[in-house]
Amino acid sequence: MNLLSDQSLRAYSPAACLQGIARVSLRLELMFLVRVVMVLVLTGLCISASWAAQTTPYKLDIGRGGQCVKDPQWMRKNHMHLLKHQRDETVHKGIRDDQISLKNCIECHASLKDDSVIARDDSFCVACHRYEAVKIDCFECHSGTRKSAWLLRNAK
Amino acid sequence: MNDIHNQRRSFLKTSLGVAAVAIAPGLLLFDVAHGKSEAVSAKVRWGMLIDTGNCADGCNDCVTACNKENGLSGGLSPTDSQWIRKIEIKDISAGRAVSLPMMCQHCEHPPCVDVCPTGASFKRADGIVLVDKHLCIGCRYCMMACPYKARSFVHEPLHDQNPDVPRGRGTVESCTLCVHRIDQGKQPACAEACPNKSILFGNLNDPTSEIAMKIRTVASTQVRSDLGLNPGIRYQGL
Amino acid sequence: MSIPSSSQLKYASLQLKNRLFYLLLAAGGLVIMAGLYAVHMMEEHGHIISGMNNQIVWGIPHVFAIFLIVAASGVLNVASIGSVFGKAIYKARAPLAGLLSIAMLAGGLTVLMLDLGRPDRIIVAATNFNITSVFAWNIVLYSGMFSLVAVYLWTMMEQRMNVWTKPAGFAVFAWRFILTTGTGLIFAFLTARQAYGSAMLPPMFIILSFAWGMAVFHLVQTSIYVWNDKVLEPAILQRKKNLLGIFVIASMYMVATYHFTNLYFANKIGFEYFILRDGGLYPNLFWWGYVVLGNMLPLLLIFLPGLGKTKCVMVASFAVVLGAMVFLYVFIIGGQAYPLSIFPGYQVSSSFGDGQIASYHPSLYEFLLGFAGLAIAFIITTVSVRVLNFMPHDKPYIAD
Ligand code: SF4
Ligand code: SF4
Repeated sequence: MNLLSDQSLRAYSPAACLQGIARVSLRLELMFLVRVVMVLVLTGLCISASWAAQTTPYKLDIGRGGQCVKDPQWMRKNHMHLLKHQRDETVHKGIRDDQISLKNCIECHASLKDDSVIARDDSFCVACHRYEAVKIDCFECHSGTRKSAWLLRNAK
Repeated sequence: MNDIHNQRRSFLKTSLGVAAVAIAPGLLLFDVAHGKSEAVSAKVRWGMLIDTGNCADGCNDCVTACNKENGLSGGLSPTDSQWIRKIEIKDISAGRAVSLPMMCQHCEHPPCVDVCPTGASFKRADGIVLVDKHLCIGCRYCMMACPYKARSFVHEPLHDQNPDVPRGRGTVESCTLCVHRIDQGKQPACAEACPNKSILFGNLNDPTSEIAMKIRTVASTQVRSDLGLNPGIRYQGL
Repeated sequence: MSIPSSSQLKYASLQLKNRLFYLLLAAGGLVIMAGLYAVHMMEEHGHIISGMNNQIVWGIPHVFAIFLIVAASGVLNVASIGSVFGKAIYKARAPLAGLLSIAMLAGGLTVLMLDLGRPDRIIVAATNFNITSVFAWNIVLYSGMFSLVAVYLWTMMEQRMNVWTKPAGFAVFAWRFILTTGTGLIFAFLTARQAYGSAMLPPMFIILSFAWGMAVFHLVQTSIYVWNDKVLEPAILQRKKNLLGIFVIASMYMVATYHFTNLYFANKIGFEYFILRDGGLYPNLFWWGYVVLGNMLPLLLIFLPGLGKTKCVMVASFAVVLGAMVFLYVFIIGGQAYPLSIFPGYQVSSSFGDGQIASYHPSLYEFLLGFAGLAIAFIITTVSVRVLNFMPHDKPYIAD
């Protein structure tokens, strides 16, 4: 490397020695910084993990509920794949499935109190996603309100 | 209008079937029943013929209907979305004035689709140009490319959208030709709302449809036809 | 009282410089933080807090980003002249040029990315790729450029790899032409807009990149020499400032040709009158900011007899950079402000700004984001120059 050859050439002059020291100390500084950052990150992780472990299991308002389009355990694990597949089918090909659609999920699972899957901390989507710490990216665009209720409200 | 009737018929059939299936196990009684299990096909090309002679100066009914249907605020500031707008044009030499609605022209060769880096802008098989908001990164290149200034960028977080019309901050949107209504066999809201019946909607590919027959008999033009984009929206009396 | 020895003096100045270095880093970091704050605000409130709107869809962030990207390609000119044409004084500067290129590219791309409506989805741009999109090509071009220049730097700094410097240099040389062409094409493909849609744009951007890149290189090089208490050999300064002058003249020629060819097309005459004569702010910026400040002043500083010393060249380079920003402002924002002609030959009005000149008031947030891009380039350069050896080492001057 240029750096090394450069140093070895001028290694005898006092100024070069000082420069060398400066370089070494710079490197030490950098390593120190890296270590500080690592420690901080690790403590952060530990704290958040223990905090998460302490939270009591969440309450969940499943709305009307009833028979789901698939087995609930399967849905817990795979609902996002179903939604994503259907979203592409619907948006690009105009296939609007009767059952497998976000609107239909909301129809059954919106709270009977406020007709929403996202309005409160124990709403169907929010409670679980918060517990699992997974960001939901649906409702920035999609309505979280039961369509029948929305229509009723907006007919006025 | 035949195709619409056909669409309606098939829609009724499917929804009845769905209702039967749903009622049988007694589970999905509340279902919204808007099913449509077939993919749209290129046999259909949706379009409009707009009769500017009938379009009244100062009438804004199509715009109002669009705003209501799609949940737009109706605000007119430069950061508000306008999917459809009324344009007043005046022939400088002849002094003749015309008023017409302008929206996404649903080009056959849409520049917005060509330039979109992620493929979020796309053309459905039946000719409707849409933005897949799951893919849109909000680069606004399509707005630069559209010759009709048909697109708007959502500048603010939105709330309480129409469940049928998802829209959201940071993505680009434009007239969808009321795709959610078309898929249910209905007409776009603006066409339905026009008091003078100036907006004729239908399948350009079906020679027996009202729109195709009218295009054969009356003189109509495409706006900026020099660009060769072959828009699905045509104007009569320009 | 003892007189400090020379090595003690050196040590003291070294300490001072150490402090200055961290001060500079902190300043750069602060600017970046401010930019991130702006991004956070835009995430929270949407683009409503920027000055951009549905008529002016690209604003100040794009001015900064495009400047950085174009200059990043242009600065490689120095490296190319060294590696491809084998000129010794340029060869000595190739590593610095490569570094600057990477730094500016990183800054520019960050700005472009953070200005997106949904920057959180940037990964979508990588996984969903529309091959007809010039934008998508550019994503490939930029990442390719990054890796190529990185390899090029490696071949230069690792002695065992030196044999590969020349082929790597050639690859970079070719790539950067394609890259700037791609940047030009982003606008050239907008055929419906009177301001853009011209085949002149790609070559114009290539020539502009030469001048802007050279100017940035001068600024950085001079700073590095001052930092290390050295002076650039007058003969080298002489040659490099002449080259800058030639690039400035060439870029003026390209810009003039672009406007002349536009005047030739009937549908673009209206736009040309707007941008060159009637458009209020835009012609003023164009003539005073770009032509006078960005071209005339540097040319005088470079070529007037008696001028052309280190300071003059420094000021000239700075003026070229400012002129570049002004030029891009007029090009990008002026180009969008002029109404799209949807009904040629008709008088048009609507609620959506048809037939009207669009107005644009850039907000502070946009500037914060733009400056953050500059700061990113600055920090990458400063840190690298300090920990690695990017100082040009000139052999005793030989004319080649
Ligand atoms: S009118 Fe504009 S937005 Fe609509 S399809 Fe054509 S280019 Fe795209
Ligand atoms: S703003 Fe969205 S739809 Fe438009 S070009 Fe960019 S990614 Fe595509």
